[in-house]
Amino acid sequence: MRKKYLVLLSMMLFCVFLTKAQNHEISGKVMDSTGAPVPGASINVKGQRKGTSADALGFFRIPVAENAIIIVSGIGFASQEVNVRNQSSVAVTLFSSDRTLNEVVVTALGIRRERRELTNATQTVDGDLLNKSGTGNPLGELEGKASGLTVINSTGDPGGGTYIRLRGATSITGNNQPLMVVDGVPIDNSINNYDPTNAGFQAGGASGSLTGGVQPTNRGTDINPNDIESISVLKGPAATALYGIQASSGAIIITTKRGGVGKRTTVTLNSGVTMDKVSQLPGLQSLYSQGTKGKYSPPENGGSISWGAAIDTLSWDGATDYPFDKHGNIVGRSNPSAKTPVTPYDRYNFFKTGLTLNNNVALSGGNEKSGYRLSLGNVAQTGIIPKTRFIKTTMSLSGQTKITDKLTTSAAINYTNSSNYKVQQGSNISGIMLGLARTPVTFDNSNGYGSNAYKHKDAYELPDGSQRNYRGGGGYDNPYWIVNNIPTNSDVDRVYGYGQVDYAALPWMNFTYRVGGDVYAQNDKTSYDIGSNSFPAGAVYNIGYTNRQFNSDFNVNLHKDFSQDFGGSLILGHNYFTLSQNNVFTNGNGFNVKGFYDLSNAQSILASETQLRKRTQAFYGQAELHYKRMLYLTVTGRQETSSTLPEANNTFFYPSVGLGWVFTELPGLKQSNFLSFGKLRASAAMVGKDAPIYALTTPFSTASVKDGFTNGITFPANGSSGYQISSAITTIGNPLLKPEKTVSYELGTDLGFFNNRISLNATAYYSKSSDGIFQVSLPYSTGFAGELLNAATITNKGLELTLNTTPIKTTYGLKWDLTFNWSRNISKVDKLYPGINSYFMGGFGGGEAGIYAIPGQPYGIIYGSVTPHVNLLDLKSPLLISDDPSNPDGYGQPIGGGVGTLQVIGNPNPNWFGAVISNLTFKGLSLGIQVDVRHGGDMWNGTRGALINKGTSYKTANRGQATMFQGLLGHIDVNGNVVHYEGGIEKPGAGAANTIQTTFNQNYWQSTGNSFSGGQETDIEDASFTRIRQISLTYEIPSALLSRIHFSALSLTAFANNVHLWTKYDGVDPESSLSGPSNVQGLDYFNNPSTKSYGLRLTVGF
Amino acid sequence: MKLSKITSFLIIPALLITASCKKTFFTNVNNNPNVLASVKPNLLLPTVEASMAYTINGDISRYTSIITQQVLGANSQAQQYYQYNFNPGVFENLWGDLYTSVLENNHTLIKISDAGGYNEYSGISRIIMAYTLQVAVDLWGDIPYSKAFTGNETSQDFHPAYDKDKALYDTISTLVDQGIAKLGESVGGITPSTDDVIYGGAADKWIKFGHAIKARLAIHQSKANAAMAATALSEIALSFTSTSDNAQYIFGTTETAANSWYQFYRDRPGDINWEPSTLATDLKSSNDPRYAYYDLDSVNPVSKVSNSFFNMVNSPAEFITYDELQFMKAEASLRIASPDAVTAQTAFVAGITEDMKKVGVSNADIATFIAVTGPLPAGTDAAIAKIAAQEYIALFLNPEAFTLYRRTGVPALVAQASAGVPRRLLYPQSELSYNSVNVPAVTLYTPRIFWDQ
Repeated sequence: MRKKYLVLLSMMLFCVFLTKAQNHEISGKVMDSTGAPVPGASINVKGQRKGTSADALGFFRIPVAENAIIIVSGIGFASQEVNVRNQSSVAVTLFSSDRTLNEVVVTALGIRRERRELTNATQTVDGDLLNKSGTGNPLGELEGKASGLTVINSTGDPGGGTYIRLRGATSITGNNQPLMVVDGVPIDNSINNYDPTNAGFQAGGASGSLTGGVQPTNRGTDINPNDIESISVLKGPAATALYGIQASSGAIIITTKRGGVGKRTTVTLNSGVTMDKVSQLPGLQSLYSQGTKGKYSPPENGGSISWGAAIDTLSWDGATDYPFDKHGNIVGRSNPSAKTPVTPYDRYNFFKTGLTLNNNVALSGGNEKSGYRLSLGNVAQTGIIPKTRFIKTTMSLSGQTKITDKLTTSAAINYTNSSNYKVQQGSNISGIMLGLARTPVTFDNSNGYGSNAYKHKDAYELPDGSQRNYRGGGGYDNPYWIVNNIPTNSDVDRVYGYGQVDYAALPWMNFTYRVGGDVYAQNDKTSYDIGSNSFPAGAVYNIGYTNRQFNSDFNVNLHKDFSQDFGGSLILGHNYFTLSQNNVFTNGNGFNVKGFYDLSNAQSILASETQLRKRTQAFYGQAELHYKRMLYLTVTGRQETSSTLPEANNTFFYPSVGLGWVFTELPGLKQSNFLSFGKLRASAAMVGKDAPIYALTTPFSTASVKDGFTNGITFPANGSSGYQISSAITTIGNPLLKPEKTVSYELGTDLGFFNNRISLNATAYYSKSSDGIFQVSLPYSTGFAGELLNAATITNKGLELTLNTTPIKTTYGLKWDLTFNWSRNISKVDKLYPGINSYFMGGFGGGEAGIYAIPGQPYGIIYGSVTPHVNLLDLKSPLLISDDPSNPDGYGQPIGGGVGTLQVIGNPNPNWFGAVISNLTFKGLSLGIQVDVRHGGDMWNGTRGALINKGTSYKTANRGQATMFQGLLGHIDVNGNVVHYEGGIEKPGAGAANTIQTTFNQNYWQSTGNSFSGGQETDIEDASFTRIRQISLTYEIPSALLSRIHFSALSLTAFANNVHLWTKYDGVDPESSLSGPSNVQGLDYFNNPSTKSYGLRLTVGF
Repeated sequence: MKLSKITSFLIIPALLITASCKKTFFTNVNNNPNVLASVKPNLLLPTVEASMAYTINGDISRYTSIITQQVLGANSQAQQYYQYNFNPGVFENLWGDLYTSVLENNHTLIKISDAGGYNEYSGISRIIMAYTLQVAVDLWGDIPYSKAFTGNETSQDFHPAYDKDKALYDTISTLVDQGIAKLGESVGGITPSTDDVIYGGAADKWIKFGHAIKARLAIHQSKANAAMAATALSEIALSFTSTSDNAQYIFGTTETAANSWYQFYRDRPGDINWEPSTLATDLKSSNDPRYAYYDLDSVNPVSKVSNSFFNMVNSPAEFITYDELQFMKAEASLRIASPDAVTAQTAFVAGITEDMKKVGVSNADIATFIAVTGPLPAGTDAAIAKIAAQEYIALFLNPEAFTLYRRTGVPALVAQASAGVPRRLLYPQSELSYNSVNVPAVTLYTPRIFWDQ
């Protein structure tokens, strides 16, 4: 109770200072260079903190003293100073900002501030830059657009997830993705996904060791990029301190377009068409057939490998009744029945050209007091994998009205409907790439139909209805069978929006109340038809996710100028947030009828439900003082209570302080032509993060029993209900949890040269996250897999640079803008928990490559078993070459198999990431190019490892070639020690240098040369790349001409995405992610490929 | 007027703030509505029995039957195991399921049953603990027990010490004694019925199971110890009297309650084959009628699962069976201070007969087989070798076959690696990573289990 009085009291105290009366009022209108109104532009009186903003039509009123100077600014525009003299109305024209340092940016809670006032790093991205690829995915388009921002598009699948991270990760198990805020209201960016064959549910947006299933979608994709006006990227805790725990990993603040452009109604049409092609694929060999030890083995034998005879020694016998090949059985070329020589099949003709149609129509208008905007969008995308598609329809309506001079209301409602057809991926015997890339070159998955095979049942099914694949029906599913018979449909209906009332009670006092909601229902249905190798009897998974979150923000904004030079403002607020998720899971097993994907067709049905609830409440305040437009001090504080923490620890306070010094305001520097603007800024901030929901107790839940190979038993079973307190994944609840804490320091400068033709923003930061909640892995002998403890400490330090330049700007219209974004983050897991020296975050366990947190190492490194070396685990020591002649296949070859204690084998975090965005305009023509560069960072290419083992990788085409491996002779004895033979007797340590001649044979490639069965380090690759992310050419008809033909806009853009990629990475894409948008990055195991795309977009306004 | 407007503006937030001042406003939200804070034993027993069956008849059975060449690892990981290419990661799932799903849940069941005075559950859960420990000790030797299962207890110990294998045999014996005592008391509160899939709540059968466990403990140590052989005989006498007493878990008929071998054959066809394993080859060449009934590979084209006795959807997971006791009896009779060849002969034939009847062999075929194989040879060692050879067949897919092999050297397996047939399993990676202070250093060959010297 005390807290609410505190708020009111502080407000009253502040009022005492504010008494000065005003002389008269002026009115005005703000327009852009084309004469269109600038709604929402800010109007402030120079030297005072007093201000207002333009309405939907650009009109404003403000009380001023005579001869006052008003400062008018708008998002994306350079601010203007206007001397009102004794005028009663003024017309102000704003010019686009050239990204000057005076532009207005949206900061936390939607507060608009001039960039010069900011004491922390905030970068804005213009909405126009976010709609170029035609995928309709606004988050995916953020890539390279801001420094300190990591964006990873998991695959090229329609609806594929996008992982976003600002600076480094601060939490081991929590969500490290930034908060997404649309028009002041946090919206959900969860991933709701289930992997029936492996990991089960993937946690909402954070951890989750997804390795199979379908590629998850993060719900941020529901936003229509056509509706986005601008995005502010609030990078560090200093910028997001007012948001509290939800934004402890930064925030993406999205401001949507508003209506009210003139009294005339404006209609804007956007229409785009994009073609997608597969970008890069794992290399395959085309020389050797299915089989082993150089002998061909036909599909009906069920073998999984391609270590058979060279295909130039094989022929088809022309048999017409052979179900596995239309050319007949494969026989030796000298065989009397040999007819036609075997030629290689193209396994990758599976991929087709994807097509995206992206259409949007927006209607906006208004009268003197009100404005509205209505937007209707549709994206219809088909993928490069047959049958995959994503259809999204969005509708949004926003409006605002001025009820009285003091009372303004605004509201927006957005509706999204999407439907996504997805296919299985990853480490999954029903995964597309797994079955496809392992297919021997002598087997045609399409049965002669080529890329149209998905339309022909006899391509992927035998006459008896069983599956036609290269393993005689078993093993891995035929990709064409998968796309037809293992459908996943994900349907989403979502409504989000807000309502807001602004009340300018007194010239120096505004109240704002905003309530927002985000509600969606996602229904996912995955069916495995009878005969799939994952669920041979058939299975259907029907999962409904309902998510509701509501947010309420009340704040009072007070401002006062104490003198001409000194002023301040105070914001006090209250926030309430509630989240409720209900998931209903239904699983039908064992179909009675093939091809009928309905629960009623299942022989047994299992169902379960999950309800998650959470509430938080906070009181917050921000005080700001400024002196002579030179010194800016911002102090914030937030006291938050979260329901996920134990009562004793559930309320916590965190402050921030920032100081900005515009040193170019110093008399000696003020008129400098060279240094037109200079600011130093420093800030320190602390934020907290609460615990996972329901993490305080160890209850009894419905039991399920499984092992490493099968799906096991799920209760109720055998006529009884069964509950468990523990299973191999159970974490002990901890009633003593406290919030995680991140303290961050930031130092930066913003410099403008030559009238801001060149501007540089540089920020260095250091943050330390302590009391990190994570699941401390325990030995199973404790009875549990782990306990949640406040234990981890992670530090991040980094540097972010943004350089905006305009190398060319001529009076006759030629202009060249060049932007560089560069960032480097160094993370370090300082400690986990005493005695715990590793934490498995996701990926593969049991010695195979996984993503771990290890004390002393960067966050999320790749950890796995290694190939034995002379000093067993020391990868820098020479290889150990087998001196054991009793195994003639391996004699003289490196000893195979992953051994021993797991080792750090790779670091997926790049050294630095940079982007160059160039924009050349001349009259109506503009040419944009974006090039992204990533330096360093590893990827585990498990795909290649498996393909080498199976003998389909291009690497294995050198089979039979003679070689002599470098290393020392020896082997490992029964006690696991390195020994060597001397006169037939084992002596400790390795022996002499190897001189044994051998060949790259099946034994070498299967046991040593790959991570599938050998050391995991074999398939660690440098994932550095340089990528032409986007090229676009736009022609915009000049406004003079447009007005003559009664159009407000007319432009045509041709664009290409992912045009070219330079990388040493051998797999589908160095940016791919097996686990999708989660903390687990850097793994590639039969990930679906990325795309390159080409398209056209037309914009018409009238 | 102004003030009233301001006041009205404050109403909504004020209401929210007021509501949130209640203590329970936050704490109540964090109660998970989908789980139970406490359960009665009848809701835990089904889990414990199913997980014990699934783990022992699943991963454990798979590794031991591959090592003892009762089946053939033909593809993928199983192919590696057949070459004895095991690393600590292989045993991760197995150990994890054993210590959490089976043992922690059973440990909790014991606590709940004792606290509530549910005597029959107290007894049953102790027999289950004893049996599971016996299987685990025979695979690993030293394992954590006395300091284990403290994760959610006040005596939280994150690095449980390992108990010595020999001492654990005494612990197992004590657990059986305590269990039998509890089963002799009044039922107490709830009577187990359908929740006890193994015996339907029949206390007398659980008591017999207890004696069977003690018989196993004794026979394992009987090679150079006639007193142990005598103990085995006395325990056998108190144990199962027919196949209907068999300690086994019969799986359900639905896909999600299916037998573990059925599920493996369904999900991983081709990874493990019955032929040409050492056992399959031997059965075929000796015209053993069980060849057809054991045949895991006789694939049903629709379900891809065979109709062998052992991998039908509702095949049993066998723990200890009447036929195994007969072989034990035969062996013990020859190992006691004054060997009893007559009892040994009778028990030997009974063992073969009961096993064959169980899997479905006709009486005529049994008689034909007994006529040829039935007579035990003269000489204790030769007779015991013959008994063990038949017991190895009867213990098809039962982890006890691995113990039998190590105790008796029967059958004479051809090792798939130069170092020989493994004598034990490795500790899993998680113990090496998270309990490194306690986990003993081992290989697949050393140290041997205390009775295997």
